[in-house]
Amino acid sequence: MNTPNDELELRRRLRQLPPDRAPRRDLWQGIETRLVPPHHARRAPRSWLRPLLALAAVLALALALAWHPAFLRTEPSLAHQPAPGRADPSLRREADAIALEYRLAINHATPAAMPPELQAAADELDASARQLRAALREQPEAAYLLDRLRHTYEQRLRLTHRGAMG
Amino acid sequence: MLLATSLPMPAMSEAENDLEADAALVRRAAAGEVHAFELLYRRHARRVFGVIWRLVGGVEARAEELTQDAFVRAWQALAGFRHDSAFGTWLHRLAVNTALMDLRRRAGAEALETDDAALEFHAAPGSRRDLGMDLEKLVAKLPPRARAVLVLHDVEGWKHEEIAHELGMAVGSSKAQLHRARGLLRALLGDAA
Repeated sequence: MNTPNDELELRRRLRQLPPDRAPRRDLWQGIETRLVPPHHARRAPRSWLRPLLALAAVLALALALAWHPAFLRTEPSLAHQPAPGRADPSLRREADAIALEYRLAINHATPAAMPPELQAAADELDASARQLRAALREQPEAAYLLDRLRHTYEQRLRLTHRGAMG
Repeated sequence: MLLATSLPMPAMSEAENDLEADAALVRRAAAGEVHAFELLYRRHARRVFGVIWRLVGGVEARAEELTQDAFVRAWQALAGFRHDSAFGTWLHRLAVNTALMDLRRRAGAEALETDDAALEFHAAPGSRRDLGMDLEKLVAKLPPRARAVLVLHDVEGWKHEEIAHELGMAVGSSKAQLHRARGLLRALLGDAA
């Protein structure tokens, strides 16, 4: 029973077993219901999330205003000129670096056409970032403004990614 | 392919056509097209189900469930498929891996397969009720890990190194399991004769 011929015969029979076998029922439906589109998790935010996102941008700005009333007095002409004698070059440079880094990332990720429902929130975040940068130029020692700026850019980048995932 | 429009090209074989068709469907499915993935399912379901069914010992419901798991995992992993191997080969390995993961999860199966007494039990004269069963059914009677090694080596043509890697065992253990599985199978065949 255990001769080499038996062994060879057994292996030959095993090799000849059919590789294919049809399931008794169609399994596709059970598969299809479990398929999540690859980009689903990162798609455009749900409808309830969009106003929240815009609200977050507004709140960020309001906080900055509440903490530093001088923020209100920012004028375009001042925006490009740090107050003499008060500038903290390291913070200003950091703000510039953050802005550049995020702008590059955002430009890289920006889709050809941003979904309209996200564009409004994106515009709002851009406006907040501009105002924060202007405030930073006037109050370059205000580290909290730098944090706000970073936070605003993060939101903007996330929004851009959602837009790109369409 | 680049000169296909200007130079006469030799006709593609059926296998090459299949590979091309798969590659095109994979690209569409990876972009999120469910219908393309369904076509891939239709093309490969029998092969995937076949190997899983055999690895789980012919338990139909479990094979169905694991086949579905394998295709869902394939869908999730499609973005990472690099086209450096045939999709069918990639999917087949993923299906085997899915079945083996299930095998490892089942503590009872683990206990059976490491116990020589279990092999003896399966080969015991009491199993003469298997008389008349075909080889497929006898393979299904093997303890899970021995069966997995036998199926992957003798039916699917895998090497011991690959089997050992997938099953998380030493190459020597894979060889030993194969030896046991063949011996057990011969005994079962002798009983059935």
